[in-house]
Amino acid sequence: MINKVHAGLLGLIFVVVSCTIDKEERPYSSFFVGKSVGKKHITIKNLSLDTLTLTGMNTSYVGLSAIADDTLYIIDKLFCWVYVLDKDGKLIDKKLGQGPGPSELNLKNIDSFCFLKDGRKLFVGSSLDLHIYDLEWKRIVKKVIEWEGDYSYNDIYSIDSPSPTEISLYGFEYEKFKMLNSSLEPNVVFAPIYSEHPEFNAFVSKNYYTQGRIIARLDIDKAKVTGLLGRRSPVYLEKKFIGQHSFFSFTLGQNDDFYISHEVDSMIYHYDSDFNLIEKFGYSGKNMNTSYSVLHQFDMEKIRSLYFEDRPKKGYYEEVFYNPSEKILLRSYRRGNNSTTNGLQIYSGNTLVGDVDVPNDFVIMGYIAPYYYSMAVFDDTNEKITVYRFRL
Amino acid sequence: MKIYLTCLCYIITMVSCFGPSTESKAPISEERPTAKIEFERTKIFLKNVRKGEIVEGVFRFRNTGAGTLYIEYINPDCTCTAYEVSSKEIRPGQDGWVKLVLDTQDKLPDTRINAVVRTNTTEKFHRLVLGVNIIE
Repeated sequence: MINKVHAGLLGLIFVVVSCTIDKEERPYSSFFVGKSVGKKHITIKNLSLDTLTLTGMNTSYVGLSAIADDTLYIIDKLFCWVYVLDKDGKLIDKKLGQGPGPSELNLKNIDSFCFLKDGRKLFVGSSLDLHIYDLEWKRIVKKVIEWEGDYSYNDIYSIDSPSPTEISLYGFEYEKFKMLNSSLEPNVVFAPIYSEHPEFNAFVSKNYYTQGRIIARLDIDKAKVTGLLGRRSPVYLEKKFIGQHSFFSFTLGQNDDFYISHEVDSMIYHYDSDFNLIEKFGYSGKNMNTSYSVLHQFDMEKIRSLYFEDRPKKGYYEEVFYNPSEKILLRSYRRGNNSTTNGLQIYSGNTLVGDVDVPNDFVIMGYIAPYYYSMAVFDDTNEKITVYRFRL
Repeated sequence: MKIYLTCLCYIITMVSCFGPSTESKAPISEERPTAKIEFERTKIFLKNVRKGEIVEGVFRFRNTGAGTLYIEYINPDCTCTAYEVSSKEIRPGQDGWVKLVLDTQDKLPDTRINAVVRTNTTEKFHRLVLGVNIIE
């Protein structure tokens, strides 16, 4: 009887401890160390691209694009129009528009958006404001995201050695602000994050790379950050530090498994929903200028110069997209050196089957069978919006 | 009881005849004349501006439509930018202007400010750009 009680207590303690241990306290190496399972078998030598010119829109030529439910969307960041197009780029409808009305979007600038799997539409502005619309494009929620842990967003900057698990340490990564909806929880989206803390940032801190989290788990119904996930690639530690490239792209599999591609790392890391490494694979892109400039001393002017002038001259991995139905992963990369082409890698499972040239404004976006689509290219000078597509 | 029902039917008939639906039977009036806004230019770029200077960009326009133009609002995308408008109501053929006023104190060397102008025209929104090259 006593043994049973002890066993029960032990079990209870075990369960409690298991639940309270921060899984993210795992060793840094566990996020990256493992044998590369990638293979190379090139069967695709080039692609035949269609160029769709999109017309008929009242647009600022500052925009975003998306694919959801086999439909192409153009989101005008300033005018807040959402244009609905068919897979051939033909304009079907227009929704929202900037303004305070119930079917309008009251934002100066759409920073990011996510068309949720249940049909709701989520938009985020630059003040952590979250706007949700129902299936009829009527506003149902307007809230400010609660982005605080033990410290407030303002207080954390006066702490010398902040904990990497502190939510307020981070903010949305606006450079690559993509939000993806969980397949398992309709109210959850994942978004990239970074920190600008003076002791914990991409330019001065080793800890930022070994312990800094890279993705926020956001519960949109609660308008609250409920988790911090992932780590930055060990390649950044080798270079000490190339903060101007400390970005990554991610895409989700069917079970909230993450595929992560860091800007300067040829590997693609595949994690389960708890960020346990499943596999890693990947090959370097062709003709990439990887002579990354290192910042030896913190200097704001130099950082700006590295970001705005040096970074565009370098090669880096830009965007990944995984199509679960075909088990195809596509990765766009830039070559740098004023190259007239970008590269696109095509992986079937973890096998590289193609690494082809694409126009230098091509960045992979999504899939509407049987076509893969690039993100829309907004040409402000010539007042033109184009999308590329191809089939495999 | 029958009398009540008859009265009720009569009232309903009368209300139906003189209610809002009768308005839709009126002949469709001529379409309201529409306004049209044409800017001389929508982008202004200023070079070699000293950091901390307050700079202005004036965007002139004309109402080339047949109806009165209403400037519903002007919405710069940065709180560092103020605006003025000559008038919020511009008659057909009349000119007007929108002025954007930017404080360059905390701005990056190459700064671009967008302002959205909402009007009662077919194309509801218009983008104005004030770009500034700032030197120390």
